[in-house]
Amino acid sequence: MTERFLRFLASLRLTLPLLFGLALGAVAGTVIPQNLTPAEYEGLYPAALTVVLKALQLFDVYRSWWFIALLGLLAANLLFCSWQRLPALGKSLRDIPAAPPPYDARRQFIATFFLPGGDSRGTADAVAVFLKRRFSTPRRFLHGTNVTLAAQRGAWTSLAVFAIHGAILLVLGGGMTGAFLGFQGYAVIPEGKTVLELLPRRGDKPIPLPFGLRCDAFTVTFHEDGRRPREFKSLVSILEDGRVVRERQAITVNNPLSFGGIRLYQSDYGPAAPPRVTLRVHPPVPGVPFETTLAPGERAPMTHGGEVRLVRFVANFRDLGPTALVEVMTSGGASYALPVFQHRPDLDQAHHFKDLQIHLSSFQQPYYTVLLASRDPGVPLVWSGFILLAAGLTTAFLCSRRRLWIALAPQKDGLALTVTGEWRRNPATATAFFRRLTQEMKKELGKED
Amino acid sequence: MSGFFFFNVAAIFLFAALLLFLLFAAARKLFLGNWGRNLTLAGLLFLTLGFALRWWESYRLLGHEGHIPLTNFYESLVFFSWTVLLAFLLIDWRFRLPILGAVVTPVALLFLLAAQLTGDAAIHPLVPALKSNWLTFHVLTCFLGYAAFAVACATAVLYLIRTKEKTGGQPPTKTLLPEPELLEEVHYQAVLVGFLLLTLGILTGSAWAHRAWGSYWSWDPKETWSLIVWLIYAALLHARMVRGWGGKPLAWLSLLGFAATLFCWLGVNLLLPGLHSYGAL
Repeated sequence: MTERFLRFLASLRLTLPLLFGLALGAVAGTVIPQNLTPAEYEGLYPAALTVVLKALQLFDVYRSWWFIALLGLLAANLLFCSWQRLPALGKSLRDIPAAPPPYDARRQFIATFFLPGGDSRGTADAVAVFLKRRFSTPRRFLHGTNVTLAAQRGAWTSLAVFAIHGAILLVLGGGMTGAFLGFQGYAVIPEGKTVLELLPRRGDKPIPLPFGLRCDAFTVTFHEDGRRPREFKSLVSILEDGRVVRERQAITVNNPLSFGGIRLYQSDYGPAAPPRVTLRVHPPVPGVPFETTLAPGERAPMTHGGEVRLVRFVANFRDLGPTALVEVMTSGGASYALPVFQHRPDLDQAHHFKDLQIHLSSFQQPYYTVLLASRDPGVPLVWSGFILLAAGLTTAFLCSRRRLWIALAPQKDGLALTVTGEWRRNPATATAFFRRLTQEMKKELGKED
Repeated sequence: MSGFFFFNVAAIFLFAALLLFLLFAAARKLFLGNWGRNLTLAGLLFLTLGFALRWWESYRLLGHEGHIPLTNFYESLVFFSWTVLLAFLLIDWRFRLPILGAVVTPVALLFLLAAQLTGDAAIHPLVPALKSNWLTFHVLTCFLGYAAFAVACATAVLYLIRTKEKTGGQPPTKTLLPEPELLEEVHYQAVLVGFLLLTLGILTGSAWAHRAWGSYWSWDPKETWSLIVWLIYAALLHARMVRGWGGKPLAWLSLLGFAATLFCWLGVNLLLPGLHSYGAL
């Protein structure tokens, strides 16, 4: 009973349903939105359907018991299948049967020819030398007066299949290690501040960090079109026991920072406080030019009477750069709104109002940065799995096993030779190869006589 | 002159090649197939020229921020056309299968025209996430894999036609299509190449994701669909070893695999939200 169960676990008949089952589960996981809030699902599906989908854990497919069970079964299948074939593998690496398997046109090449006056011993020696040079060192089998030389090439490529299956087990093991022993969380840090814990990706229990993480500065730069971001960059310092151990290290997208087994990634950003915009005001002649720094909504009196108010500020308006919308209120009670551009003061001129000039001289935007902090001790396992997988697949693709038997049977006035070549892949190329080999051998044996 | 112009020239050659392949299928004169092959090669050369020019243009326009032209939907459509043609010519060179051209050139032409007529051919600087050396390896391996699956699918179609031809009455004495065994073999080889390349594509993507997004696997729809494609072709390769799975079920499985491949590339970009949204229209 147990043995039958183990044989089932190891069989290819189990592999196919597992592969298809995982594929179907994955399809469901992309078609049904995952991990939304109950309210969001309410808007998507009728209540009855929601109950069914939830019961089947289709709202969190990749963590559902059935998806993980399928992965576990696949791992068991790989493991038992490899284990079962291991003894045969060792044997096929070392040994080659004394005679070819029964003829099968799809995987074998056969040619016979007659060598007049040849004797089996001497010819076998010559063939062995030829094979050693052109194919691989043959083994010699004797049945009475008949001699068979058997040789194989690329037998070790059977190892590639084991490597591939082992690699997948390594990747699955690495994934599990990461899931149990690793963590991921976000550090949301305003410029100049330090955090000691992370917001978790799931749930709401904060994850303590083994060090303090300070954001010294965050910058975002844009391409000339003003819309496409060029670079997001955080400068961070790492503190241990209040002491700075790493200072002003840059983290950008694609360039994380590693410290103490934790990798820190640039993930997001946002404004930590309203921008502070410095306006330069040139009032009409009796008034004196002055500068004032305002946040949106704030207002300042002007030296010649009236007020200026900052309505709105955007760091990038179209492709015109930093732009502020200001409102001028005269002492008479009239009000006018006008945009001013830091990089295009020439456009400010268009809005001149009674000799009053307003320019945007600078602005300050305090940011917060969002860093993803990740600890994943499974990564080395996954990487070694990847390397093994790539190597195994490349080997299995480039090479395959070929076996060759040459049977020498003494006849009345000579020697009958039967060449049997066997391949696993690429019949056309293999057939051409064995045909060429047979002709070369024929020529060489003829020469010696 | 720009890359766009050369892609149009390529489209003209491919259209002529397609006509010749169709004539070849109808008249069964070998010289027609040979000319179809030559024109396909010319089309491929113009596509290559267009790509080289576009690459150079991106450096002229963006300075040191220039990049390989494999970074948006337009470029991916043209590049798919390029890889499919390359895969066809390689297989034809090795196995002499000009009739495959009658299936492959329309596909290549379709994608090329879709790019030229609907795509945004402007060259833009890259967003920060795409600025990585992994980009080239990842996109190259994935798309070469897609192309191998496309050609495998084309041979599967030919196989299904060929086997149907035989069962319907007398086998034709001089058939246009090669022996089913040859088609099966070409199909298997193409799937094998595709599987290797797709695996390398997933691995490079995973390594890149670890560097850019902080996780080698995050069940993003693109990642998940590449896994679905991988599982289907893994099933195909294993099904070949189980007795009872002959040519026909495998051919159908190959059609399913390529449908999933197309969805992984186009469907995910156009229908599902996710991290791989650079490719959206």
